[in-house]
Amino acid sequence: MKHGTALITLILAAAGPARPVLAQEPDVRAELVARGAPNEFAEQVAAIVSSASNESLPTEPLVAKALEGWAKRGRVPPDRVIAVLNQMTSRLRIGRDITANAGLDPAPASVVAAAADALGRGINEDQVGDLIRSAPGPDAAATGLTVAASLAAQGLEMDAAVRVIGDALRGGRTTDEMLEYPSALMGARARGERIDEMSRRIMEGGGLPPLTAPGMGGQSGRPQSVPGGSGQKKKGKGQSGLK
Amino acid sequence: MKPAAIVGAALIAAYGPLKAQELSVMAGAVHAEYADSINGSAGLLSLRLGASSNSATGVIDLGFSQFTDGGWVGQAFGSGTAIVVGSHSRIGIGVAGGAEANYPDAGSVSGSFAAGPLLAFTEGRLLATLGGSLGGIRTIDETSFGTASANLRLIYGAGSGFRLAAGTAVISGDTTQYADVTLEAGYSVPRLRVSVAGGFRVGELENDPWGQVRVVAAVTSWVLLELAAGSYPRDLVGFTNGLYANVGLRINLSAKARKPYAPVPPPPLTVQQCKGGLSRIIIVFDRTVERLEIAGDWNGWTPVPLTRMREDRWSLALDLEPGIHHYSLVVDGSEWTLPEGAASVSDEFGGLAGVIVIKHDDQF
Repeated sequence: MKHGTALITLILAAAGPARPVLAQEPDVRAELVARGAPNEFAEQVAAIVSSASNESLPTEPLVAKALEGWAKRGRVPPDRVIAVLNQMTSRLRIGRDITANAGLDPAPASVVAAAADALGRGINEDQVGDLIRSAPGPDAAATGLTVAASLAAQGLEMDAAVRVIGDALRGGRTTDEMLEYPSALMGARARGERIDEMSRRIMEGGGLPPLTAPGMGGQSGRPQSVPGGSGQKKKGKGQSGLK
Repeated sequence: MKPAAIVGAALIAAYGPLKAQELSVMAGAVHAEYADSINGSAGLLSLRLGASSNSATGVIDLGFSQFTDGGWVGQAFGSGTAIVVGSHSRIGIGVAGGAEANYPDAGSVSGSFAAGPLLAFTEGRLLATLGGSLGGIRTIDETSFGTASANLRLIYGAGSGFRLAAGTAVISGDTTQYADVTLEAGYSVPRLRVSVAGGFRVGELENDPWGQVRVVAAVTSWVLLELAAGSYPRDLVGFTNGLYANVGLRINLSAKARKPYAPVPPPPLTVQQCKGGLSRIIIVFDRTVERLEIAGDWNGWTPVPLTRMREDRWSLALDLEPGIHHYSLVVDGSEWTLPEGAASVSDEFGGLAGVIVIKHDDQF
């Protein structure tokens, strides 16, 4: 099997659309070793993935994160990768419990993974549960959680991100409609930049000589770089008045 | 209205971090010939504080001028504009305000302030503003009175860095009423900006027409050379008209400053649909690199090379499932990074991962 094909098989074996969590043990150890990782590191990762699989947790996020961490090994030490994988495992456990408590039992892997991702982005457990309960099905729940996490990560206030996605789920928005939201946020930012550009251009006044702020009366006068008065020794000398 | 548009309108109010801040100092010199036949040369030192968000911009200048004949003048200028979005994103409604104060060593404090509503409209390359203000003035003769004004200004970005502007303002203060008409042409490229402005006045505070030229050149990314010369009219504060020439170096001390006169950048990443279900990723990466690769969660973070379309444009067709994907660029086989300004999330390793969104209807 070619390396790329094996990799895709590895990823697909651990991922997939909303389906119950299954015990899976993709050979992440072999994949890491094939990429030059030390045996000890590969074994540690494999143990974490195997443990997660035994707990019926989705392993695809762990595999993907391990490969990402190893790919970025120039700035990410292996210990950091292991620490992140352990944190992810904890979030996956919480995500599985939240998902089950929200009525999806057995918990679909995609929803558990999305819930764990949302928790990692700062959405709290109650909010994750509310979003899952608001969704008409597992696919919508997984997409909604992922989009909410993405909106929050891009700087949208957390409560606003959850509220927007909650409304979308309760309003029956499709997954494609929800996937438009990150683009809408980027578009809003772009429009905001245009407004900012508008504001900046107003401030600059097109280079017109400002004495006071443009838009207020355009009292064209002395440029800021010209001090008022050539060392006025007494009032009225150096600058003449109006009268 | 599409739901996304509604969401976008709701989100814009919630997303407002500062886009740029400025802390700079300028040292320079000026020579002025005032209309009352008194000449003056002075050294200038000024401090500028500025900040802008997605909807507001403000700046404060504090200056000190030391004349060669021994006198000195302290000056303060401040102005700000805040725009809120109306029902249409091309219309801005806001407020503008500003003030200035002058404190000479042998005189009294003079200055002005004004503030009022502002209506702005932009369509394509045209920006139009209509404003009004109420304010007050304390003259160099230590008298005070109120002012009122109305202002119309048109700014047209003619493309290729050219900009044209025209404005008119009607001002009333004390017993004086007049109207100014101003015209300006500007040219800017990433490291240079040149503007020429002129105007004339009708009314009770008559003055000869005036004209000014101003050049700002970026010597480095944090040092600007500013040159200006020309004439200026009388004003209500009591200062006469005159001629001036000045030169200065502005040193930018802030880390998040707006790049000097950089053009509006293109989106750092765009996705185009291709036949066969592929998504073409186009990335703007404005750096001199030999090799640029992309890696992401769709292929186990295995870097694959992007094709250079032109100097700063790279692309690659990828088979991506609908959803949100994370990616990173790999520069010359070693540095993991993202395009400047790209949407990103924490990668949990102390860095960032870029975001690519693929919708079902993005695929054929």
